[in-house]
Amino acid sequence: MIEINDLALGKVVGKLFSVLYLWFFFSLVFLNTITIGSFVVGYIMPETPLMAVIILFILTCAYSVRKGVESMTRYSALFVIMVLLFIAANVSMLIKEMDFSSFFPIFSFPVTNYIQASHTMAAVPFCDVIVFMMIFPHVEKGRSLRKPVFLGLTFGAITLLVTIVRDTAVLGVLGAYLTLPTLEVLRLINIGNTLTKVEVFFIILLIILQFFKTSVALFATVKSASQIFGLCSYKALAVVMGALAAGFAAMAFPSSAEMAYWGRNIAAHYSTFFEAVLPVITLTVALIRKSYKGQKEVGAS
Amino acid sequence: MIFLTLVAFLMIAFADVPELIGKKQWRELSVYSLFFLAALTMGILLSFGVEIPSPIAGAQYIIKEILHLNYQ
Repeated sequence: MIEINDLALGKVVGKLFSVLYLWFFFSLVFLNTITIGSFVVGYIMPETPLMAVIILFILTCAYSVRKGVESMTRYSALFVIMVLLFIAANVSMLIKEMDFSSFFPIFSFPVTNYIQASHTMAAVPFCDVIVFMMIFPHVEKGRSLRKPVFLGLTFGAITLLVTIVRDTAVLGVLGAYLTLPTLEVLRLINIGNTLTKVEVFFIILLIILQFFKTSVALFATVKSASQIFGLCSYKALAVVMGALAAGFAAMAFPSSAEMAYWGRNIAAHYSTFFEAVLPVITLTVALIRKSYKGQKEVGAS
Repeated sequence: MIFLTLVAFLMIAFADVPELIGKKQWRELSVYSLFFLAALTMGILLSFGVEIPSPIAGAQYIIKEILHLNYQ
């Protein structure tokens, strides 16, 4: 991606765009870190200092990045299987709790609510896959990326849809008042007073998946930094960038309420600038330069 | 707290710097030092309880107060 910016936009503007992308990838690292930190301190270990959780988490992500992209992504297939099995299991266990009349009346909210929800869902979990642009050059030569990326996004969309349908069918209107509806939904699972506390598996999976996402974002950050500064290796920057991200995570939001407000009302616009606006500008300039170059060659011949 | 912060950063430096010096990767070392000093400064300021302005607050100000793009 950094190389694309230099080619399409020239050295100066290309470097500026690259620095903007570097900031975006870095912001994904510390925003995801504070999210998991707040979750662990809020729901699991309320007496633990937030900084301790942040440091342990970011250290693990930095270690993963130092080991290299191949070992970092090797276990991603296992995570996908775990998520699939877990969702299938808990949907089947919650069927008796589901009330599909919770979906009615449909389209009863103002249009802006639907726009806000769709925009936030598209910009934050989906378009964040832009970080994989830094991993794609490491894919085996000759292998097409289109099908795996498309399948991955489709699988993500289906997983999200099933989760939201399950939560809405079980909780109904109450879901809108909860910070983590999925956690509350899983607390309802009680099979013969034996199979209970299923939310523990959800917590474990959430931390694992968040670790993977943050590792990929940290990899994108250090790789971008190494390409911008013309370094031979990115591995030396992993821990120090992680330490910087830990500092930013500690001071990003003064409270959970501020973080929730950012997530609901601002994050979509912030992400859209880096995920849609900048790539569209780069593509437009690249097409204009290509057509101008083509016309120049035709004129010369 | 400040002592723990300094020890942690010393450990980070001991983990990475000897390798960079041994391989004579001076460019990598200079970029590493830049980020290391930034992280160390932030760590020391946070240890002393200094309130650092958040760049996310800056981004929120631009999106909300200047561009008026926020949903609510």
